[in-house]
Amino acid sequence: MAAVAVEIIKPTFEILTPGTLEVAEPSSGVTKEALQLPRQTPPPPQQPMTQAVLIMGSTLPSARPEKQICLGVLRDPEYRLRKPIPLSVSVEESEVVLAWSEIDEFGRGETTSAALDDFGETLRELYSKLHAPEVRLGADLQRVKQVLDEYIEPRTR
Amino acid sequence: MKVHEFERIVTKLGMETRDSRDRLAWLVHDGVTVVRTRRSHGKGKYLPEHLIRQQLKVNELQFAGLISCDVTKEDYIKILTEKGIISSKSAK
Repeated sequence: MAAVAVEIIKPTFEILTPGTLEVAEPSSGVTKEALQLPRQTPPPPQQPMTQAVLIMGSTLPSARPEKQICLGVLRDPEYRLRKPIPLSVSVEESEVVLAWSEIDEFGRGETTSAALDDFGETLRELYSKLHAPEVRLGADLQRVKQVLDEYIEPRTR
Repeated sequence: MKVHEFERIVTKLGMETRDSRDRLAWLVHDGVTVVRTRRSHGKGKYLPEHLIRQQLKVNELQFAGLISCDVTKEDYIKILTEKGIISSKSAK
């Protein structure tokens, strides 16, 4: 009859009962390996979380985005508006710049109010120049004059 | 852009000027007023380069050439003629 060797394996854990203050050191052998942390391996390289984004366009976006306002009233004794003029508003080198892209005209100032005043004065001068009887205009300025006539008219007395 | 750069363009193109609230400049070609621009008085005032460039009807490269010596008045007249801003009949 063959002898069968039976190895009694000690448990690798210990049941702690309430009130236990100290945990005994594990005995030598297999149980110590169980206490070791697994080997730390670095994760495989991945795409970085932040990537450069290609922005198409000639200028980078401003922290203060461009907005639109409408000039509804022309503070001028001679001319008045037929309809509001759409203006883009931007801040460039601490100055407020208002631009009317339809005729490539602008006004600027330290505040929006000052820029509106500047724009109004500019329109007045441009209108009177383009309507001067002795002036002959090229194709583009004739177009500008037509656009101005859509928006501006002399005040009737 | 700087005031002296604006003035360099005005002088190079022989633009008519009038000092009003702003300094107004007009290009008159063969008796026809074709483009206009302006700047504020005073050296410290901000001149919106891109808007002045648009008034002069040129792209950034051409505008840089106007400030430097690369684009002459004849070149500029040719540019405006090609854009239809100057009538090809009057262009010389």
